[in-house]
Amino acid sequence: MNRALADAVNRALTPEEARAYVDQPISPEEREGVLSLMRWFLRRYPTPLERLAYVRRASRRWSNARQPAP
Amino acid sequence: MCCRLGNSPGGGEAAPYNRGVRAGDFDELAFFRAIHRSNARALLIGRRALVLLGLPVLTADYDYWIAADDITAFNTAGGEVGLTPNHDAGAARGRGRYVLENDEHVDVLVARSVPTVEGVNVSFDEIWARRQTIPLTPDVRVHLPSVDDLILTKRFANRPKDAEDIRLLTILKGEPRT
Repeated sequence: MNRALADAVNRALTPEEARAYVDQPISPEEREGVLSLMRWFLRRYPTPLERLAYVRRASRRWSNARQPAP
Repeated sequence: MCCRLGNSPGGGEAAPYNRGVRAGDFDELAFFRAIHRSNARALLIGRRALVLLGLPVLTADYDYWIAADDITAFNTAGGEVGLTPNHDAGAARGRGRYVLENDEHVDVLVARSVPTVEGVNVSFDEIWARRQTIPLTPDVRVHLPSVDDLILTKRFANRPKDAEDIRLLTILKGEPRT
């Protein structure tokens, strides 16, 4: 991750920014979007071990995709 | 949501990729088994805890909050899968956190209490008492904070991804547990 992106990802939100984000009401669309993903995840990977394994594979694919070609 | 990744270990510029070097095959179940058998009071926090609860988020590391008295037991467990601490137990207690690393990166919080950005003091002993337990196999269990306490831990650093995770946990909290 380059420095600028790392700084953006890791910066601490101001209390106002955090409240504005967290306190924003969860719309029905947002809720359904998250629950739809959860339903898929729990259906496709029904056990905790399978879910952990999926995340390891997905994270590895993401890391590999970020690497520059030699 | 599936593309939201946490920090890569160490941060900064990635080293040039060396295709001749293959990542080790970290035995995740052996890691959790070793922690379970160590009887160290250890709570899995961070995004891997969310994954166990059914939220498909990506993360590059493990995050634990452990009892300050159980550092040695926890490190011994990490040593069984090749992980080594970057500080000795005394220094770790003084710093409040340290890292276990080798093939994987494990952020370990050891402070007895941590304040949220709003100044709420979150005590390890209190959230340990309220913990939930997820069985991985018949003989391996992982302890996590309750959903409400996971939300509190997300208020420690207050990064954009923490705010996002709070929203995810809030949605999860509103659903009947299966």
